[in-house]
Amino acid sequence: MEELKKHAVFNVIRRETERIKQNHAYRFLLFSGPLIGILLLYLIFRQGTTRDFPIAVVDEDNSVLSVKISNALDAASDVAVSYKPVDIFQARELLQQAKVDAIILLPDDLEKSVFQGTKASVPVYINGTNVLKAGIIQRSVLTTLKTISGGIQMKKLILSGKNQQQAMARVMPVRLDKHVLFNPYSNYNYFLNSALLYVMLYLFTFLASIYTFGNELKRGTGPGLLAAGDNSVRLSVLGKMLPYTIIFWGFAMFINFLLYEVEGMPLNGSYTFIFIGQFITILTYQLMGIMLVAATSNLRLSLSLGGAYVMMGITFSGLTFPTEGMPLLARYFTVLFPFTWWEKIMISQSMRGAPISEALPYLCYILLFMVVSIAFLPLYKRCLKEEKYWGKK
Amino acid sequence: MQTTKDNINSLELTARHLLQELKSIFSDSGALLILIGAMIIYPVIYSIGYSNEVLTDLPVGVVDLDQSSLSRKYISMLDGTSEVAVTIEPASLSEAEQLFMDNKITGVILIPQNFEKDILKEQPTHVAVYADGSYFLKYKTQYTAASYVNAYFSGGISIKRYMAEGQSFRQAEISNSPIDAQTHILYNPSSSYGSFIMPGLIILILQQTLLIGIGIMGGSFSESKNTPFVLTPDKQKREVLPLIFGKAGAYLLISMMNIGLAIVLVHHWFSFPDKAEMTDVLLLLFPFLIAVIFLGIGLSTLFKHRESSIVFMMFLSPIALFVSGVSWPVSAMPQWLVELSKIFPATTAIPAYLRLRIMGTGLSGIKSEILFLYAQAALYGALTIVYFFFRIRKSAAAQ
Repeated sequence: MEELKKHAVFNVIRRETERIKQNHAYRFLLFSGPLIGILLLYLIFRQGTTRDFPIAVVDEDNSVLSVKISNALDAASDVAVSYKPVDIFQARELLQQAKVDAIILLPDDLEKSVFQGTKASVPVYINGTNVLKAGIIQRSVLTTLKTISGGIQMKKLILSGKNQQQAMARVMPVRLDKHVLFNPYSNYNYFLNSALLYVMLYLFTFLASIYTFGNELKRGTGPGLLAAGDNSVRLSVLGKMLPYTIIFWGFAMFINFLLYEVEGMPLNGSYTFIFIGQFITILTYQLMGIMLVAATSNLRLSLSLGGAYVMMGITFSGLTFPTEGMPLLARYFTVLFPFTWWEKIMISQSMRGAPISEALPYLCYILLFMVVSIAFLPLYKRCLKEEKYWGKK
Repeated sequence: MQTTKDNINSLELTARHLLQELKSIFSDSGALLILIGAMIIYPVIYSIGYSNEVLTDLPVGVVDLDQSSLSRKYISMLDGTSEVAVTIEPASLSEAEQLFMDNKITGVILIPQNFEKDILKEQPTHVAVYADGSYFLKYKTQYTAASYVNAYFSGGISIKRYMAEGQSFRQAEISNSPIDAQTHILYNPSSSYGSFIMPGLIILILQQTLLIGIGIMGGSFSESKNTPFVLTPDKQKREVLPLIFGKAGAYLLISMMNIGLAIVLVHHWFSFPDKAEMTDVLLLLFPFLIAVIFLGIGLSTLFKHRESSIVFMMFLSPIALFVSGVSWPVSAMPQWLVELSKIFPATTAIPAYLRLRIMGTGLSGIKSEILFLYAQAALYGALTIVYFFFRIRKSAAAQ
């Protein structure tokens, strides 16, 4: 009996391998697609040298101080003075043509005001269209200006007879020590890269599953599948899933290699837990593919819905905008995607190094999706057998 | 003797193909979902997700080892910011760490012992902020709040000391900050996330749904579809232009409806910034749409099975989003990838659209992009037409 069942699974695997060989869409979904997707995303977010953002300095003062400020801005990290327009109107034009991302105006009499101790303002205009970019530029420009301002203040204090320490305590009575937990370089790449590579993996896992299980219905080959699987839907599904599980698991290993070995992303928690989590999430998306096919008995609709579902999962995983900031309705919505829970596992185990007990519930939520999907197997069996479900698109 | 079928003029043929395409779209649930459903569902759901726009009242814990009146003041200033709320005051850093791991707080601020004493003795002191770098926006929000509070608090102390030395308040203010940087964030003053990401995202969704949708409707030479030609094979050359323009017309009509929904209504509902004339927006979107539609029709001829378009195109969506620079600045990407990504019209259209609509530059600011899109549309259109002629000749030769 055991021998026979084992045989049935291998039958189905052999049958599936033949199908994969015959249709190039399968090969794309299983090999070139994920590879291209993963490599492109990796290149986009690779921790390369970020080129500096171009800014414009309008120097109306042309003094020693204004030149010093301009040079300091050029030397500052993340920004580079790429234009020195003669007036603010020209600068504005550059900003509107997106040639620069910020304008710093060094007004006439800047140096004079500073040394006479009268009010000296330096207006900074930043293009806020891209919030992330604006944040980086703002931080860089303000730090540079503050440093120069602090230096002048310090010099004046020392001239008035204070010692170094007293002057320092006046310039900066309370220093703010920044500790960025779990992401020492405050690097956005780790964060987005780790998540998006997995989006790619699960997208292909999900679509490949929908495609292969849906094709049985589209082409009405269900009875053949069941025959190969000893008329058991469980054995048939198991045999059909297995080649995909193995290949996508291989891609998961490839992603791990890229993230941890090549990029040097922190791995502060349990790798075993991440490993198990990956495996379960892959299986879950495969089974959910079957659920979707069974529920719609329509390959093309399933693919449309499936793709849309994974894409929406990006937004609602809190990856781009944290879920805490979302309205209540959207927060309820976030739990409907296995990816949300996967992302929590990743942050908990890879970045934070939290105890496993903290991440365990997340894994159980993913398992819930799996249980619900398995409940659809009898329906899928009916679809395989009955002709009225076949051939729909 | 010609049949009446072959006498039909080109204009009528175009109209016929246009109607035929619309009919098949509306009788296909998968295509309807992508072409029309997605344009309603995505923008609305995404906008709801981002509708709060900025993070407020992130729960942080303050470990106050000083317990002085000055440390109290510092804490109440922190609590007073809109970004963070001091929800708990753990007794020690390890207790705070536990709370953090349990997701009760998103960050910790530590005020050291002798905080007040050092300040009164005019000795430098420090405050430590521990922010969660694993969620980027949370880290940024918390750190910004702490920096503001610290700057105000420190400024207050310094100004008081200058005043104690006999300066007036105004003088003290200037002494404390010889160069006063005044930041103006233009075009999106609240730095809100929704206004930043949604307008560009909508254009991208427009492109991706069109490309996938046109693919789903099937290449004219795909296996799973009957020949689209009305005329007999020897007359089909005459039918290529009406066929392609008819199809393009159908998708242009659907896109106009989608524009009304996503570009006008969604913008209005969620009050995204809008500094452009609608006619200017349409002048930009028209070449964008025809470029996308011709690209879609061209690509659809490559798919053997209709559902293949989803399989081959879906995974490009997040990639197309990032190369357009909507979220992550393009300057950090390899240059060849940026150039390659210009295959997609959205890569050119999105930055131009944002300049037009968010910054209000007017048409003159985006002239080169509009011209590029027209050239792109012409190229894709020409390639598609040539390919159709080629296929017809090939099938004629085969017969």
